[in-house]
Amino acid sequence: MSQRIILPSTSDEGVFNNSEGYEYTIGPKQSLPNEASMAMIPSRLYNESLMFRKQEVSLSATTFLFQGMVSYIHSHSKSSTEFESTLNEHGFSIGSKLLELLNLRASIPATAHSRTSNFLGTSASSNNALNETAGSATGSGANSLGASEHIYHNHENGSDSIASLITNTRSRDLKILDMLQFVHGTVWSYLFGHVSDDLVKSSERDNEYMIVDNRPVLTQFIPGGVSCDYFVCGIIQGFLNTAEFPCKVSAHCMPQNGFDRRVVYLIQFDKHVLEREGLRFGQ
Amino acid sequence: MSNSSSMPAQAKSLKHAGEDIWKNRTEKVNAELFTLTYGAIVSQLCTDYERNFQKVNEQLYSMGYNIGVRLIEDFLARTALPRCENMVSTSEVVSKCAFKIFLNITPQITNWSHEKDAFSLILVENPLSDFVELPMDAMKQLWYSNILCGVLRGALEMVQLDCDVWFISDVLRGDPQTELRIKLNKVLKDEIPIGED
Amino acid sequence: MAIYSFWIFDKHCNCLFNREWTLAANSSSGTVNSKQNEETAKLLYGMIFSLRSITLKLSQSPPANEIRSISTGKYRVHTHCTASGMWFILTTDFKQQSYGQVLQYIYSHIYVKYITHNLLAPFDLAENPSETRGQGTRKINNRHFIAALESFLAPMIMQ
Repeated sequence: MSQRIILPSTSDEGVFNNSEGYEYTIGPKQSLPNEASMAMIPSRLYNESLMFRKQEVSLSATTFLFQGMVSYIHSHSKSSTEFESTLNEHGFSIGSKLLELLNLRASIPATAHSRTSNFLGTSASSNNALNETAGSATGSGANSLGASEHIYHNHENGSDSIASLITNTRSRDLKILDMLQFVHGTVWSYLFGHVSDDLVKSSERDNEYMIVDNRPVLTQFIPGGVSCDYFVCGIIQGFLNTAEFPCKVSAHCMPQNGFDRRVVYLIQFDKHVLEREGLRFGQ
Repeated sequence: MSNSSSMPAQAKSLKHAGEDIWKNRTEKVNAELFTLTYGAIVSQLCTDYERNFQKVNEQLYSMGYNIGVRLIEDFLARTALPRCENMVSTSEVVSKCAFKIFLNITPQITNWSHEKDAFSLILVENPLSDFVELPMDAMKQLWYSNILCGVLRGALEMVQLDCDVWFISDVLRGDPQTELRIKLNKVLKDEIPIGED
Repeated sequence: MAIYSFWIFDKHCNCLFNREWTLAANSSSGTVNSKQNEETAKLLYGMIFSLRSITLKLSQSPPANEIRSISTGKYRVHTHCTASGMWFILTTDFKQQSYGQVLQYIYSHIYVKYITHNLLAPFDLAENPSETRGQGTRKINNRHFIAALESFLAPMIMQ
């Protein structure tokens, strides 16, 4: 994708479309008498900490919700391509938000809090070498179990600001490999509670990488096809595109060793990403 | 389930059952994935219906209904609970078991109607609406978590309780608390095979 | 031979699924969703329905006086009824007292997993009122469901 996509958040869209509320493209407007008398409602949002609280909901609730989304999109799509691209867009909007959020959380030093494990801080780097060949599953399963200790952090009334714990912001990933390991490790652990089952570089094409999930969490109850996995494709794509690693992501069903729902996410970076990397780091 | 005279004991055992199932027999996922997924749904609907929030509310409700009619089977399979004898025990089951098992929250039950056929649930926590701030135009009309009403309506209907479910207030709209109302219309009759009546 | 047949009824009194085993030596013998069993299904449902209305009347005070099993000269019929009106029924010999847990397992780990959680499977097979009250003939044909059920029940056919 050559043009940069910046997805406006929902509330921004309202500003664009409806000219209600503050329009930052125009600046402050004169307030009407009835608006002025309206009580300002303080949003709780700004009092809440971005600190990761280990809150959980049931897998059932999540898959039911996901399926609700899938059937809505399905009934409003004319073709399977449209279905997949709409689902992809949903994921994209999530992925692009995760980039900032997870990088921020990963910046918290492991010692910052007594009950803070190094989960988000180092899991990406601890997921050792990238496997050049498919099928050589790493010992990453063990990592993921350790990682599920997670950060538990109580932050009543938002008294703990995430910013107060960060001394150095995690430096931006510039290499394709570092970026992908962050997705394979940190993003996957955040979303699904374990690192992805494999991260593989294509032996045929330089710009292709694969992330493998043996048991996709969200689509495990939906038999047949990978159309619904385009949601996760969107998350990966949103994450990478926002990080300025423009790419296309597609899902492929590749059953193996008894994992009949095994999904391979194929990531195809734009050519200029490789060119940039060549210039920056030399080949 | 015991009868209504032993309510406190029953409520206690339901609470215990809910906690036990949540702790030991429920596969869990990060609540933020759930929150973000729901956010993507609502924002898509707002776009699709061109910010006609009344329509968005309806669509969320119907999406919830379609979830509820299935979710009830999942719920019964895990809890093996029989039908409730009255709305008081229904309220306990909904709050202490259903909300606990699916969303890991236990809303407070309050504001009983005089006839004991309607009650409110106060959602102190709501994983659907974490990190959400409504834009101004949505603030007066959108019931952000309206999917919950549909889920409850669908699930209760499947155990023959025809109920109306709606939001009375929501902190996202600037209200002091999030209150969801459930009112029983009637108890539906089980179908009987042709020739048996 | 321990298990003879397995049945699922929904809240519309329709038989959604039936499985009958004819040869003890061969767990894949018999029929799945046989049309010939439709009459038997109606009779079976009718019997349990009538018996259930009587037992519920016999004991007015809760907990409800639900039927667990019915014994006849050659059979035991085990029933599991859910609050949503589904019935899971097994006919067996006399060897084992209760198949309650087996039926509960089928409901929670097989039916809910492959039918309820499956977006593509309709949650209610009756599509219009003429398919309610025991007049519906649609069946569960989901192969994952059938495969899981077969592999779960196979060891019990000859016990």
